Amino acid sequence: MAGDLFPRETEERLRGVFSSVVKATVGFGGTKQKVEKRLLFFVEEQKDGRIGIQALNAAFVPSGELKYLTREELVSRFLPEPEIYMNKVYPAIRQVMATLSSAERHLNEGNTYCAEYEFKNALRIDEDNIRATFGLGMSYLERGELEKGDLVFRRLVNMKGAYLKRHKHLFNDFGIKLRKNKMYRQALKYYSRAYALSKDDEHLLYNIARTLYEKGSYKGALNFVRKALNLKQDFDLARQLMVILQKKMRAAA
Amino acid sequence: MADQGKGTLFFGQFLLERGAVSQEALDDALQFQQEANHRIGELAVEKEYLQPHQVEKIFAEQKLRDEPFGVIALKFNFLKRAQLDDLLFSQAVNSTHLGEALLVRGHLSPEQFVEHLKAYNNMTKERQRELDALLRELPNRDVFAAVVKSLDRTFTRFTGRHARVNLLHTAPPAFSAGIGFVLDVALHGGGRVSCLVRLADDVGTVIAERLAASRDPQQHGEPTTTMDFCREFFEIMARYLGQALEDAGMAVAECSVGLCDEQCFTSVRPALEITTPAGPMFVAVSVAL
Repeated sequence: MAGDLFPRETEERLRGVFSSVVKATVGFGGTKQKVEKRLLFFVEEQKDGRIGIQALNAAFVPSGELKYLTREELVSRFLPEPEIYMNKVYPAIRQVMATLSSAERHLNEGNTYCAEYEFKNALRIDEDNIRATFGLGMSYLERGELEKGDLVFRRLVNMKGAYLKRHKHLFNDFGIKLRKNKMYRQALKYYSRAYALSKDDEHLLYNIARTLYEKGSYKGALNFVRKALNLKQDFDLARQLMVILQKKMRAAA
Repeated sequence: MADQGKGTLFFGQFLLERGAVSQEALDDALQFQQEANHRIGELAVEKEYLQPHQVEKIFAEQKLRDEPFGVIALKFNFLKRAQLDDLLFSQAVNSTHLGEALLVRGHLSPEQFVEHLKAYNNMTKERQRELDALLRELPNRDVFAAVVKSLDRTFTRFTGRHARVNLLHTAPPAFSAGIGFVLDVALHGGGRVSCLVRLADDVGTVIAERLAASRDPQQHGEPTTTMDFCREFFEIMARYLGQALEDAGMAVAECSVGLCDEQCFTSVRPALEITTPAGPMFVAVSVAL
């Protein structure tokens, strides 16, 4: 079994549940006692070879910040829990994935209420699920429910995982929806957080420029569209926007 | 469920009238919805953001201030902004619409839900267009809009469901029995907005029951009769009306509530018929600016 869990030489990547025991002292004076608590984690080898570890929530779904450790740390500090993985975690993950697929299908078909229902189902199992949070926000914004969309925005803007490369498509779609609903302040705050993490993304710079343009801040928009073109000179959309901005500013002068 | 007429229907009533669900199925879904939805105070205690005594203190303050739970919690420094956002998000995630409840309980398939919801949305949009056109004909339409908004807000707060403008009466509505209140808003500079409300006795009873359900009956000084509860309901509405008129750019000096007899009501035109979760209500507005 130990060999299966560490498939260095094969194409299979390490994936499973591991536990560690934490010792603590609780109580005071005469009631003081030492207790041991077993904590469960989901461990998965990433594509780049790093070993990722995440806590499991009460629904046995990996949740919260993804951290990394070495194989040596994993072996020395944790114990494998294959039964918990097969009986609890794997089915829970599959349920969340199936729910998300159904939700995204409803959203693509324009059934925003059904999509909302399914995204909420996913979030009831895993409240920190980023795909579901994006999807719920998109459902609200698609219907013009700006207050609820703003609530989701406030959650997403502080979720580190929202800015990861694998969520880039979702990130972009949500930003566009904020802009199309004229939620310019939120869109700019959202993009600025991403910009702080990645200053060499020409599409992000273009999106900021586009938002500033629609808000009527032509000077600021021109500044960002030029930055985008500095990174990618054959960026046609950015060039078109620059021409429009220059015309607007000449007309206003 | 009381017959609310064809002019303005809530989604549940709409489904009943289309024969999409039975009364039993609807009652079952409403019961499920009520049990599934968590109040924000409960969530705050579950997440250990607040202690029960803090929640009680906020509830007590809400009766005086008519402000949302979260706003008061922030003012008391019981919650940080990030915690409140987390609670609001959890509440949204864990809340269940009637349609979702019907889906979960198996009374509607997803396809049926989508079909009926589209039809309902089309109907309400059309109805809203007609009513907007009607309200545009009125002088002081901002005042009427503020009245409707404050009534809707009060009903949403105590019943979780909306009130809707149904019809506009240019002649006094036939309405013999019932109770009436006048919500008087004095404006700085001498102007006055008077909102006269007439409702049937059984509608008043439903309002009283809803407010009573949110009260501690042993608390000294709490209302006890139907009239007392109705007065409190309209006192809250009067405060909301004052806020709505301020939002519309009027300088509100004072809000008060008194009784309004039938004669007083029928002398003011036009009158709006409002469909509320408690039953129909008639509202006439007199403006002196």
